[in-house]
Amino acid sequence: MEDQKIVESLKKNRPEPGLKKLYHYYPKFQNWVLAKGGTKADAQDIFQEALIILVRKVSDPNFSLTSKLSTYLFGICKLLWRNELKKKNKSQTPDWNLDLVEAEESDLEEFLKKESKFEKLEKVLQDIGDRCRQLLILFYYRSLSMQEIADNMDFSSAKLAKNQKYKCMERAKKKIMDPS
Amino acid sequence: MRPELKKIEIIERYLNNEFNEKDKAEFEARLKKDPKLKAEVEAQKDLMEAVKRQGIRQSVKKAEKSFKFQKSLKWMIPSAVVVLIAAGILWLNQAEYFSHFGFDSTIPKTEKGKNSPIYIPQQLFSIDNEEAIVVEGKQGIVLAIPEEAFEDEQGNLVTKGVTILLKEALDAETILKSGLSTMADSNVLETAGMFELRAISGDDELRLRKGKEILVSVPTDERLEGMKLYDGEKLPNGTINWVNPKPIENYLIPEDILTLNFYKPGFMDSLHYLGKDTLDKNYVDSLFYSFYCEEGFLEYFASDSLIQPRAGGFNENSEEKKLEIGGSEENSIEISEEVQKFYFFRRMEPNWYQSNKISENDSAFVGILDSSAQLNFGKCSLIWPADIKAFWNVEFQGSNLATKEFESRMKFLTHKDALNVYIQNLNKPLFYSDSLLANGIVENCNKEKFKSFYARRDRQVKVKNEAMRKLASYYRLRRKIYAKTIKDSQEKFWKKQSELDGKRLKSVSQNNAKNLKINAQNLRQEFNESLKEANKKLGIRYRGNNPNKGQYRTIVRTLGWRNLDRPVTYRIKLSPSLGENMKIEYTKLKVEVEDVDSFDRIYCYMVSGSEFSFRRMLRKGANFESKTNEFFNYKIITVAYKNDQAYFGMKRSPKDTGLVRMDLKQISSKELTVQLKAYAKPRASSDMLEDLKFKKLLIEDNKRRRVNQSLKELKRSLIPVFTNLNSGCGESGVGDIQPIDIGN
Repeated sequence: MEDQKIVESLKKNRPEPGLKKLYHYYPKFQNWVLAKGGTKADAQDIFQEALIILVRKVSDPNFSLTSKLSTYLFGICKLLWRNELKKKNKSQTPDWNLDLVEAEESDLEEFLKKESKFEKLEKVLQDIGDRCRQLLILFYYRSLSMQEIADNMDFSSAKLAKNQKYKCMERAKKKIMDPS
Repeated sequence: MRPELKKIEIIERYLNNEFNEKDKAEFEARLKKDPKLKAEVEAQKDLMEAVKRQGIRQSVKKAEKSFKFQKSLKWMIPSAVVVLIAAGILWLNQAEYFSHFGFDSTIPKTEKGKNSPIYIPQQLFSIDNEEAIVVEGKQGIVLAIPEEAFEDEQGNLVTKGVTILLKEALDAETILKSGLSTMADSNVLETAGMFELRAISGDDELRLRKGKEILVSVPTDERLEGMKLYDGEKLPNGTINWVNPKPIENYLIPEDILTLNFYKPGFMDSLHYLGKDTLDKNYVDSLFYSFYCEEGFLEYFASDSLIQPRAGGFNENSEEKKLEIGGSEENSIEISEEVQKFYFFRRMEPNWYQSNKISENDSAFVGILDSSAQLNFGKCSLIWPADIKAFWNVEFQGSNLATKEFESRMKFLTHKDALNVYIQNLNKPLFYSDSLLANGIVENCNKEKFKSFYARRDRQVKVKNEAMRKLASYYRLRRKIYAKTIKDSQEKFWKKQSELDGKRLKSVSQNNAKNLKINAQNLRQEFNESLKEANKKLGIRYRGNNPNKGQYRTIVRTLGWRNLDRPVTYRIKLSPSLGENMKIEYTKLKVEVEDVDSFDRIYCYMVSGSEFSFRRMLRKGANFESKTNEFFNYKIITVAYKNDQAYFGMKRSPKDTGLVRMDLKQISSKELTVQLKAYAKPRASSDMLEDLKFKKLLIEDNKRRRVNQSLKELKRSLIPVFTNLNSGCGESGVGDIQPIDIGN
């Protein structure tokens, strides 16, 4: 798949084919992380996180790909790993560069800051139960209709599923607005 | 809908831009004034983003899983062309042929002018040749050197301090840079790669001893027919002419048989598709070897009654529902997740696998499932796992069967007899067996495919024939044993499961009988109490209960709660002289429990203050419903569980409305017992506890049944892997699977 095709795939609510292609870059990144003192688990986590960022980024209507997709993905990976290292060891600044254009780099840094907010909220979603979370994902992410969701999740009607969706939303909302 | 939920809906519609201009302006004006509302909008917006991230996270994990799976497909790597170099071809006169390759590996010899010698980096391997050794070049040429292979010019055996010099020119770049050409006299050759092999000891050039041969594997992505091995001949102008072509002897190199893939084509893909852990070989094997051929077995898993996607439960279950008074939700066996997923996708986008250009593997799998409706029975002449198990073990290490070449044939073998051809002819070259299949002497599909296998002229592993014959007889024995073992253990397992099913049915009906009895008692007592109350109101002295037992029994058998008002009205009409029409009102009672779906199981009971026992309320959607007699005070007791944590709630039935909102609180199981005893009369509480206990058992048993159910479904969906033949068989399109061609 060429870069553009992958990007198109990532924009869909079923981005798995594109992601699968991108995973071919994973071994290369793993080697890089290992060379920079990380572990396999680090590499896996970072790569996962980077793909999430990439999918989020390409869905931005202002996004356009200026470098090769692999370069861009690696840039995100490296940036994430740099931030990770900074967190662990504040005195040292890693010495590699991201191989990205400066504008891209600062744009990404900015984007990561915004995203970190949602990252925290994801933890709230862990607390509202699997069923609730799945329901919300099917609706807000996969964009299924309420009827499809009811069929898929064994609700007796679309109305019931809709009601339950609001309840799940309420539960999550409560946890944010009044964390106790 | 509750106001809070309504609010969420409104905010969501605003965020999704579903408001018209006027409403939008109004809402935004309110936002400015109301910071709390603004915060809520923000929270909801952020949450939606977080949900999307969670969704993406799921997708990424899925992609990672399938990436790892593909990586584990070791058999996808291209195999090698195996070239046997007979003693002497390269080594006799080698100075003549190869001297111009240059002895010095670092400095190109340019002084000879424009026909300069060939410069290719030379690789050196120092070996101890007392034992056989395998070395691998940088570009992938593998040399298998037998022990004591070299001698010096005087014919003395040299084993110590031998250095192998290897030059590889396998890709166009190396060949062009080196100045090698592919001319044979005046004909151009298509090359699969060139290499030079030398051996030295100190300064002495060594040669191969008579009778010794080195196996050279040249890697290739694609095997072209008609590849031949040419000897290099130095021309006066310094280039090489390639002469003396010999057909490549395709001897096989055995591999570790356990790393080869002999699962039926489509089996691993199907499992992977169904989200099973295909990396766990134990699991995959246990599932794979659980298939065996027997008519009854196939029908058991193949009967369509097992799966009725989305129709809500299974046949066996609907019968059970008739028995159940409550018919409560947890009794329906859910269709397992993977099957759901499958049907789900199919419903959503009938051609999703095409539109998304999902890999060939996936579409092959879908092909399998598509044809699952048309199962073939009586396919015992096909290859079944027992047949495979018998040779897929270490005993066959080193045989023709432990080769990539056989692995690629296995994918196209469909019938037992055809597999037997290869096993019976372990001591013959593979192409001998290929010819039998290609000519249709033995029944098998894919005749054309075997013609092309035959054309490759794959030979055999170089092992003594006696050993091969022994292996063949061993195989025959093994196959019998495995077929029997698999059959026995499967029969035993499912027999046990059907015993458990029987026990469950018994216990369900016992419980039902008990519930009937309790309900009957309730009915009788409530009837009497109502009558007493009605008579009192109408000013008639209640003459006491004089139940006719015989008559009573028939009432209970035919009445449900719905008909309860009929006999009462009837009795009242017996005293028309008072001129007043007395009616007892039965009010519908509804209990609403907050977040009812978040509990694993939840029960609602009505307990009346008088002597009689409890009633379990019916679950209708999110609520529980029943009817109350206006003369009674009821307590509504709700017991729920999340995992093993119990929740308890109690309220009195309201006089005015028919709705109870129940709040549940966490409670320990000990405390629960105490509470139940406190709120209900002794018999009622013990009945209630027993009922809860039974419900728990039922749920645990449901787990077992669900596991079995999904196993059955899984096996059912995999049966086509074993019974469907591909198009090579020319059967009327049944199971038209194209096996995935993985090259050779």
